[in-house]
Amino acid sequence: MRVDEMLWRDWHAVAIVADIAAGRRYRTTVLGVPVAYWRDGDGLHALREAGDTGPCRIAERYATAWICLSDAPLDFFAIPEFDEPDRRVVGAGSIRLHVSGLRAVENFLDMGHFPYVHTGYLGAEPHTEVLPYDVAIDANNEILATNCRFVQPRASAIAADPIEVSYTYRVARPFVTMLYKTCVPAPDRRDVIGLFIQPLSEEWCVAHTVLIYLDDVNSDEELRRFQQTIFGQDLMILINQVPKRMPLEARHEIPVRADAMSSAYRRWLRENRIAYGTWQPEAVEA
Amino acid sequence: MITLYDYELSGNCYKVRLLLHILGLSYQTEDIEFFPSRQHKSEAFLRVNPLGQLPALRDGDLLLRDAQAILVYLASRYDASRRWYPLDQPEMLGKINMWLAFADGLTGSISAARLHDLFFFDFDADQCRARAHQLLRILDEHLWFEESTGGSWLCGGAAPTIADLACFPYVMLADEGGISLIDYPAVRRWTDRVKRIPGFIVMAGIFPVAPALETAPRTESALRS
Amino acid sequence: MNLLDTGRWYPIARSEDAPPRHVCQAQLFGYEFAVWRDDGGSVNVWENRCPHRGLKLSLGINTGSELRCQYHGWTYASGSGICTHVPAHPGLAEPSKACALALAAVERDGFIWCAFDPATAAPEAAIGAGLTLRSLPIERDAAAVQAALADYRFDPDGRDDAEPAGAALRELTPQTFELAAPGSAVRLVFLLQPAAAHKTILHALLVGASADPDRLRRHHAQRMNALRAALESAVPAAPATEPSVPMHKLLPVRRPPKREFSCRVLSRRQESEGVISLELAAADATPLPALAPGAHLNLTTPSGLVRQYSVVNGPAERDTIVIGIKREPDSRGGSRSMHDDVREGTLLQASVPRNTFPLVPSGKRPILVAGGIGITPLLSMAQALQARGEAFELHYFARGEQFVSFRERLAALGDAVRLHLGLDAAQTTAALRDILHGRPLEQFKVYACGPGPMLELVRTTAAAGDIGADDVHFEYFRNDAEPAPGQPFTVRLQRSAREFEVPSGQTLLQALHEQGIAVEASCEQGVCGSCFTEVVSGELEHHDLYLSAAEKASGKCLMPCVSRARGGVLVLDL
Repeated sequence: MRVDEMLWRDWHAVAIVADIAAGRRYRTTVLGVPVAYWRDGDGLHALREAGDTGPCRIAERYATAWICLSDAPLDFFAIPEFDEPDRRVVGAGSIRLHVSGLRAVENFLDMGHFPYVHTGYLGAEPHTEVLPYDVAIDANNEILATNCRFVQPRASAIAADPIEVSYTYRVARPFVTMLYKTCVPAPDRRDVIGLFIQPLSEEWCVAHTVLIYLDDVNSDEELRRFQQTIFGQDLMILINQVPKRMPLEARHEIPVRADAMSSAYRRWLRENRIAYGTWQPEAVEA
Repeated sequence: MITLYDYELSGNCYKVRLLLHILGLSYQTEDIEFFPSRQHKSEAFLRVNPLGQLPALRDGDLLLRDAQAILVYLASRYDASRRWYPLDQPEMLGKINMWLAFADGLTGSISAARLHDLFFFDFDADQCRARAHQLLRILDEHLWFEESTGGSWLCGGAAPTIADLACFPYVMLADEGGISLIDYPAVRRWTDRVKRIPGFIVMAGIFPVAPALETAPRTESALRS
Repeated sequence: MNLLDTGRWYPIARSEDAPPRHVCQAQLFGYEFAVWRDDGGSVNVWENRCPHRGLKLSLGINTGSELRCQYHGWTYASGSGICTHVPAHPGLAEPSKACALALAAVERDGFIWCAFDPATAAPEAAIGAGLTLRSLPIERDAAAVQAALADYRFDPDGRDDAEPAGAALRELTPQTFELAAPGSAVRLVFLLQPAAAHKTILHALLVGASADPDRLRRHHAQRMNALRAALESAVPAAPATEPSVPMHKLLPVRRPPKREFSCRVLSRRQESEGVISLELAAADATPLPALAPGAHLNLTTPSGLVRQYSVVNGPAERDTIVIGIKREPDSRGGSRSMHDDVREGTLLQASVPRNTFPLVPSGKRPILVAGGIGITPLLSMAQALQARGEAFELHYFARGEQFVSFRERLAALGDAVRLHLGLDAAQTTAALRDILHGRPLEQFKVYACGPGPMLELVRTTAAAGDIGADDVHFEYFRNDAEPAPGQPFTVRLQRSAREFEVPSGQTLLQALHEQGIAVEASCEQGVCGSCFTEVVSGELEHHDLYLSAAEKASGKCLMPCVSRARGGVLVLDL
């Protein structure tokens, strides 16, 4: 596999479909390539800008519009919950961040920051311990962290009392991650939050969030408000990480056992030859 | 019952939430979703505020827009200590209003850059950032001179006023607009002091500070600052 | 011109820019720093980056003794920069490599100075005391600012309407300049801080001026603002660029400060029935770590188990460490081994973990309550309080006269000490009620250490007496879960044909390092993969979180920081 081949063949989120107004032309970039997209009676269209005639496909999946810049696109990853008839699918907005999208993914996978960044929402002192969990790569070359548990004061818009929430984290692609959490009204099923990161450039990204919930109590706005509060708390952290590109070697950033998933993610990126958005110190040394 | 038309990520709404908490006032919130649905431009909300901006506040029959105006009202009506907006001190009122207007400038510069960077608003971000730095230089110099004569707050009194609350949020969120506070050390020290005001609450993106070092047994003068 | 000299001292901030409980954000040669002062007054100049996941430390919290990162709450000790607490794993040792990158820092003449090379000789001759003026960041390189200083005119009395004549700019040291006011003893000293390629912080110090400080400051602020305006309008602002060389590459290679040290038992004393005290000295020339009141040591007992012992030292005792050890009847071997196997001359391995029982500065009078061997940390607190001249009370509950330890130290504390001997549960409760009730609110803080049931009594009694939960501090003496020691095994290095033993209680990584074999390591917890080592043969015991199930089953690799062999011989491809 050539460096970043997976990224060049992959689909990248550019918008939540509900936020695309008909008849308007939108401009953005994917992996540094300027593109335009729009919606009309025939559906979604996209092309590269500035006379660039390279491949540019657009598809709609999981309430999101995705663009691929290759003629050999990868298959989409699966989210079976999306098709369940009683699911509510809510787009929670798209926010642009000045940091490598890889750091945004890694932050999403992390529980150790809950008591400090999401104080009173997803965690609080003295319940700071991250209990051991399991990480494995599955047959689809996706990373799964299972048996993740954390005591949370306000785990979601509906949870009124502190509960131990059970999470599963999944990384399907370098910039695509999902979390599955205990569903308060239906404990044998799970709510899904999809974080689809659009790599604008190596140091800028857009975080598109899609909720695939079973909640039948809260309005779309209430669900989004909780999600945006959580994301707003992470935002100030993400834009203040140094360097903006993510190092993949442990020499520079030291993990602990709670970082097993993030460590697996960095290893997975190395092994899948992803360099885009990573920090390569050797390359810039004089 | 006070009703605040509110959006969690809005610094202007946060100014009002801050004062409401500091004054210990109970209130209800009507959430107006700024992003992505732009509910602040909806017909229903335009009836509340024809400018289509947040926050707005309803108290009985009174309906107010503009964060600074709301701070003036709440402090004038509900602050028993008479320090947040001292109606009996014309000089302080002049100074406070001077800095409330300055806070509006911070909204127009820092907040605009932030809206551009985070939410794709169509502003000239470079121009907004340049303006923000001009204002922050002025703020830093002012606070530095206040500190050099033993002061802690924008208007030179012994206690903070609504001017401090009005200027605080967008200064604190400046990073989100690509504006670093590294060259404004006096401003950064002042933000620590604001965070220590009893009744202070955070918003997304703002974090608490360590409690102040108490060097002497508690006395009245120590409690006053 | 603007080249970083690792052997030079640079001004990084004014002393007043680092007040207590604040973290100042500063810049030098494009690198960002977190500058902060601990409650003892010492300044720290650290790379503005947490070694865990890179968050700027300037967003963190200065607790007075540590800097706490805002992302995951990791704390770093003032001075050394060593990570002292990882909240995600309260029971595990912190990664020894996790250390904030600290520059050498001194304070002089109202400024904080830093140097990249800690071996840099002391800063140049002092400028002298003076009035620090407001520092000004200027968006120009240092050479341009220096050139503009030659035209700076000021009035020694700070009169804005005066028209002062020019004066010669005299260079004192590279980037420090002096301007004398003609016809006056007043000198203005400028210090240039090269913040970035196109940014200079201009610091200034006025020496020998007697006019009103406020007027002088405003006068110079006006002058310096004009200087800046002229400089900045001459050239368009250049975009900021990040330095290309990571900061850790600029510093001379140095190991993070060692947490572990060897100590030798100088003396062993029977303090009371069942309690001995040991006086420990450093086994080599390195000075003993500083220990705050209430701190404890981790000691590896001769049995191999690691136990914690509070330090009894008073503040003036820096050359030795004194601990007290009670022989526990149901001990798993730790205290028994300390009583039976440790004598004068015994060598012990120790480390200093985070102080979980510190004296909290609060202005409230401390009430120290000790039960049995719980006297040890409270004694160090009491001696520290006495040395500071602060009032306190020490209540020592013991089963009888023969169980009172450290009598000389107690005697030296005089009236502040009350002994409560031979009380049963009801009498203890009554005594605690006497001590803790009837106290005016908010003026007292309770520190208690002793057996669990007693601490419960203290807690409930204090709560019933209206002492707030925030003002009651406990230290529980409990045995930590010992690390799985594992069986000893033999290691054979295939490529270098060497062979050595790895005892239980030592990790394979430690053994390899001891043998001088360079194996890279980072987290030392089995999660990062840095120490990945290939295995030729051996029965492996995997304890890591990095290898996949298939890799573990293959028997072809392991993580020496946490994994071992199940006895026998382990052959490594090294």
